[in-house]
Amino acid sequence: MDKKIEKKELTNNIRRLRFFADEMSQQVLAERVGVSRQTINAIEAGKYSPSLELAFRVADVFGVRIGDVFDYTVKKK
Amino acid sequence: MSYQVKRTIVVGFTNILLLAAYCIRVFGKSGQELRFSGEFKDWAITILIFIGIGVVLNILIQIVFHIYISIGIAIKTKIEDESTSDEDIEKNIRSEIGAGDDEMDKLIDLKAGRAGQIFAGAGAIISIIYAAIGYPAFVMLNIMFISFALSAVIENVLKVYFYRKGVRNG
Repeated sequence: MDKKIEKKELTNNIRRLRFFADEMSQQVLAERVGVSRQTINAIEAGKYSPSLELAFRVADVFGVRIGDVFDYTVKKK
Repeated sequence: MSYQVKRTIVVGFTNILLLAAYCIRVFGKSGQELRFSGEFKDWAITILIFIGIGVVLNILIQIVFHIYISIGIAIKTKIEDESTSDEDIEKNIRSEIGAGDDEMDKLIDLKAGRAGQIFAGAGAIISIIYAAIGYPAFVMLNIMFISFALSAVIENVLKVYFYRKGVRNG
């Protein structure tokens, strides 16, 4: 019961996936998922956690599962 | 610095200027007559005029800023590559400005707006307390107006903070 909750953070592989998608630009990805380039930049930099729907749309663009784009891992100290 | 951050800074700066203009008008030499008369109606009219100026100024500033940024991007694109077509320039402008607020902008608006509302609400309560302990009605009006104007400034400062540092759901 007294189990300490580990602090986790949302990380992503968008930069890597963009690289393997023929170096897709942030602008192109933004247009395809319907947000601004600044939002994609913020997600990539870990400054913004996207909604579930946007996360699915990003995964759809790369043709992968949502778990391949986003990771929910223990926070590094 | 993104378009949204620049726009927020410009709007915030306009709000600060408006508040300063109000303070100069009311607490400066030109406001002596208004302060001494203490007429509730005169104060209400002055505040209403400033609210009107604020609304019009905010709309105008945003339109002018949008045009200014668009021209800036167009010139920059042309300087970098003279053969750039109008379509590419338009695309660059759209890429920088965006097609409207997306989910991150809305979340930032929501969080900053809530903080601003709390501040404005606290100002409204304080103004009522002042009225309850016997201060003249114009003191109440002034506290209310200034707290609302300051809440707009706080909202813009928080927006810039969220755009730069990031924002999380929850």
